[in-house]
Amino acid sequence: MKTIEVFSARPLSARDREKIEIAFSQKVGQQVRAEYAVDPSLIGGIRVICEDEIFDGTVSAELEKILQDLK
Amino acid sequence: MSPFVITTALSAENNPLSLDLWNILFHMINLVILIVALYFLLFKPTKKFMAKRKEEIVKITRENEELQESTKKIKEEYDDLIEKAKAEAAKANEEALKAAKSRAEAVEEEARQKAKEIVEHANQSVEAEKERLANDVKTQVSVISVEIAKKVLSREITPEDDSALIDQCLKEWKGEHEND
Repeated sequence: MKTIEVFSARPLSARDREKIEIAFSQKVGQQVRAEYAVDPSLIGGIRVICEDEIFDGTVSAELEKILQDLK
Repeated sequence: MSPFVITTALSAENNPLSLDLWNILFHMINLVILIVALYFLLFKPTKKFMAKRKEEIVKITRENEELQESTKKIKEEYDDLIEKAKAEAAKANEEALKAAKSRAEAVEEEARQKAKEIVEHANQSVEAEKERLANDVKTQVSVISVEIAKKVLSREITPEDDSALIDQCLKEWKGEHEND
């Protein structure tokens, strides 16, 4: 069983957690165990670290990308 | 007339001046001797002296004329040299003036060029500074805008919005996975 780290801006509902675990289980091809952490600075969305790969779908990451583009 | 007649005629009774023929003759001979003596002792030397003097005067006069001629020639040569020197000095002066003018023009042109370069450089600096300031302002505005957006979104995003975002992310990641 692989372990993934999930970061969110607010505590996730059970439904959201289930969706995440199913999605990543399909991705890695085996059952995954998720470790959840809350980081309000993310503002919204989630950041997942799976097998040293980072999947960043947070609002703060998007805003940072916009800021870099504006610069 | 016979001398005896003349003597007799000139006897004491008829000769109050005591004139005697032999006396006269004697005096005449004396006179001739004197004249001859004077000629040889005085006249001829004097004449010779005068001739020699005249010759010297002529020689001196000739030498004087030659000297004057030579002096005149030297003076003419000197005047020529002076004229040539003046002409050369004037020419050198003119050339120096021309060279100085040319150098002044070159210096002026160089100064003008330098001033132009300085102005261009200053303009470029100003433009670069303007661009930098504009970029700084743009960056600051961007940062402030993003900060404001963060604050607003932090307040406005609801749990339903968050769930929708999560669904969207999972869909995107799933799509990437299927494309791999």
